[in-house]
Amino acid sequence: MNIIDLESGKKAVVKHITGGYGLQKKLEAMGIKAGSEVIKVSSHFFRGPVIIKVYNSQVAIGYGMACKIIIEEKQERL
Amino acid sequence: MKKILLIGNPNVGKSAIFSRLTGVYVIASNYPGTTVEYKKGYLKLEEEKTEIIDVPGIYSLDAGSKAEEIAVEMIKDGDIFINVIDATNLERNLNITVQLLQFKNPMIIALNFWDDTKHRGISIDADELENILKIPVIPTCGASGEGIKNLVDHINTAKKNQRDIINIPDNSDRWKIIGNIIGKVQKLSHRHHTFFDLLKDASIKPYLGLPFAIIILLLVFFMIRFMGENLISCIFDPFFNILWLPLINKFSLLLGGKGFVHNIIIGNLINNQIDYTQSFGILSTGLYVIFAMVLPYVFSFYIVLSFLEDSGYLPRLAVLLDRFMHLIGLHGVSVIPMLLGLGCNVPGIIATRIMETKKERVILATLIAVSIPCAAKTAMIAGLVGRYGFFALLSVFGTLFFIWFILGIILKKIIKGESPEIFLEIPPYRIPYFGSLVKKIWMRTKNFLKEAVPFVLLGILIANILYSLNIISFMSAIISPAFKLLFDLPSEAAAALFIGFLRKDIAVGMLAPLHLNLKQLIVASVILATYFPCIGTFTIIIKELGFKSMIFIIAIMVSTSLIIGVVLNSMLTIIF
Repeated sequence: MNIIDLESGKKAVVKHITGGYGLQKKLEAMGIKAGSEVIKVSSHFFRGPVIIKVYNSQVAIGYGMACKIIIEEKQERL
Repeated sequence: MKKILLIGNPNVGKSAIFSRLTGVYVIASNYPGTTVEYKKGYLKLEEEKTEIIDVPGIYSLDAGSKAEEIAVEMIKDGDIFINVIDATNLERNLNITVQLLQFKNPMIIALNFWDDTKHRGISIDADELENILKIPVIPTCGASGEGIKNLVDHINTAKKNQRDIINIPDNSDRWKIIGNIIGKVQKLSHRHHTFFDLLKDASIKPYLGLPFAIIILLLVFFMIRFMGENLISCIFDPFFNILWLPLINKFSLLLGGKGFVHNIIIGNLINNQIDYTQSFGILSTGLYVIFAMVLPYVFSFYIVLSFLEDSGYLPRLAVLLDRFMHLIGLHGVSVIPMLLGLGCNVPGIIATRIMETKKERVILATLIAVSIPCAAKTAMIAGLVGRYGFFALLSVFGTLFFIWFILGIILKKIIKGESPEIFLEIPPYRIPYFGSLVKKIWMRTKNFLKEAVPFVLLGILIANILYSLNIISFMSAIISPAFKLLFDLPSEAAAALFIGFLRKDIAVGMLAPLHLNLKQLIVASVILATYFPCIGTFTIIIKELGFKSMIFIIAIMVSTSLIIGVVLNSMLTIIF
């Protein structure tokens, strides 16, 4: 599943990024890479951006980019 | 001369520390990308002059974006690194620290936002971090100045010590090493959610965020209006009417009440009296337009804008409007240059650097130049058209919004290139520091006056000279049939177009003595707002985007104003 499919408020671990080297580098610089723990904060209407929390910061990611972040949900409540 | 570089992630407070170190004021705000061009300043270290450079923020040295490439080039040129770190987000920030450690340059860490860590339940062992990294780690707070002296002292010692290069392998291993460091130096304790956390969550979620945004924007609008109106009616109007008018009346008598020199300095007397909006002299209309019509609104606008910037709300607005901005080939971050453009187009166009591709920058710069009126223009149009009520104003600004939207859709189609998606860190809300807020508002107001005073006065001087040499009536005679036919405007209105190249506010002011009817006022205001950039905007477009883009933007502006002028005139003729 990708980060779009994750419910808001849920925690997940990034499995991998499907996408070119450029995108992987861009996301990695912000700390989004395989193994990172992320929390989905919210997503916006009509394929709007997705907000996730990674480390101690919130990051807004465009819909297309968010589709390429493959995750595994962590089964615990916040 | 030695070069000290301030390097770190975006929005970690490099600019505030830079201002503290050099005494050179640079605009610092609470959103990533405030510094889009690098700034230089100087610091005296033990009698030796040292150059300090505020490098635009980057997340990594190898992420491959344009900003990162530029930063890496600058880093190769530097002697001493000051790595500024957001202490409230240590782990993510250490990514660039570890990359910087692979250079052999002396380095110091400024652990900024140190004061913020305590109430966020973060405790960092700075001494332990110093031991592990083997470089000085100084807790600082750029906004209040805490720790800056300590930082300077350490530059002196760091300069002398050469340290070992720490070689740290790539990517995933790098994050592992960072994870180990974090385990040793940082402890998180649980804490209750603060009011700001609730606000933070609410303003970024669509259901609550949109109404919240509407409330904020309405509040902004009414606050600017309230402050502007009161500044005028309580301070500037009384000053001009009670104190200034008798003075220039005497001066007018001294100059004989008429003649070339009198008309330039005092202006034409209307019914034997000086009329601030119609006389058009340097000491009458010139000063009155700057100080009593434009300055109060510009000042109020900058108070509100600066507060919004420092609070951290703008990135949230960017996220909320992101989807909408995609319709015109931009993403949400473009609201920031546009908001800056509402103050003055020049900083707005410089801020287009925050966008990644040339396509986005050209679209954004064009839209700002054509359809985003600066505060000076807005104040003058509001003053002129506003007395006909809300719907009169709505027809001017509604038209500009319409142009903005339609032009955006067209530009998105015709300009080749990519429109990437939003990728933006959302900073925490912060209560702006009063001192830095005052400083920022003061600097912006000062910059406005520096621009406005010479150009408005020059505009009045030139307009008067052109009038008295009959050049304007000559040119107007050529233009007037077309002007009459296309826009139903008197030929005198064409004169405003010439002066508009210098300053738009005074050009709008030139419409005041013409006794236009409402329809003509609306058409003339829209044409004046869109037809051509003022000289400041013109120059910055060439500098930022090149000569070709400038020609492109001007072609769009001229044709837009022609088309919209004709359409608006015919539509309003039917309505009235």
